[in-house]
Amino acid sequence: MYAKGFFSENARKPPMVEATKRAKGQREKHLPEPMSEKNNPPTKEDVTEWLTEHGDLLYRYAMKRIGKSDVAEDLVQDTFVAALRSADGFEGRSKVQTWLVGILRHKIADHLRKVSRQRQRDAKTREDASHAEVFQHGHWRVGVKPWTSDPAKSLENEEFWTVLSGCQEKLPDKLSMAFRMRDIEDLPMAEICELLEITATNLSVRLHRARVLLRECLDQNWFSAQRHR
Amino acid sequence: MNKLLAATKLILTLKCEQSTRIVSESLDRELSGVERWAVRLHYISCWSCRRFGKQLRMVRDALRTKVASEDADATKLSPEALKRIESAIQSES
Repeated sequence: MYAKGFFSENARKPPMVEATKRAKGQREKHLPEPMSEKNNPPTKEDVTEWLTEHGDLLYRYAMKRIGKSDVAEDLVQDTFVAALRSADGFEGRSKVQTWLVGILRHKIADHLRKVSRQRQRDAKTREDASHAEVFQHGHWRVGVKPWTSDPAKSLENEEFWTVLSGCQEKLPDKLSMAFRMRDIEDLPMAEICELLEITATNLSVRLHRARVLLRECLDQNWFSAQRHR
Repeated sequence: MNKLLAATKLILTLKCEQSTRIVSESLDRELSGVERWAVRLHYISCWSCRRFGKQLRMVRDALRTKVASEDADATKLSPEALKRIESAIQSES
């Protein structure tokens, strides 16, 4: 049931990912001489080149952690601005890209901290209430019913993903962030703890609640209809 | 001796909420032998938790398949964003 490799982080990726990687490698051969050959920090004059070379990677890095494109764009912008300002501080000990990613990581952490503080100031969270609706005195309030429809069929259905997406959005912010970082973006537990500035225990509580609520929502909004077909 | 008592207590008194918590954690780390046994025993008499475990893994697999099938390279800065960022950078300092 819990075979050692089953929940392994190193599960072999499906063929499509490998093919994409190969194709990507071939495309890069045709680009002009990469800027990373010269390990100099960006200056105002060559900003365009720097953006072309590193912008997308930084954007993807931010998107993976933040999930919102407008915020990710702003963070990339902030990163370049900060890089220009502290260009003197770059001693060339690491690659420029590593240095830029380092700056971006700080910006991401700052942003998440700001968002968390803002959330605390706003209306109090209902997450505890929602979770209490599922369990009472440690037991299920309502028994879990089987999901009878063929999983493969559900996955092919566009509507299923819309429902799933909707269920994700209904999650309280704290839970939805942890869920997205872990179950969608597959970030390591340690990194999520760092980004959200919470302990491992706290993270597993959030993931537990998120997954329980998400399952409830999916059950009510998708699989129950399937059962009555 | 304390560890043995704690293990026995877990195995014998595991409630559904706790069981679902352990199953949830199994998605992120390896369970200890005690934890695995506690859940297995609990499963014998609890269909709800058994289904929960199956459904949780189904959702996890579905998401993984979906994410893997999406083109990661498609995530890039739009031309508008690039222009905006560039001019913002130029106007700084």
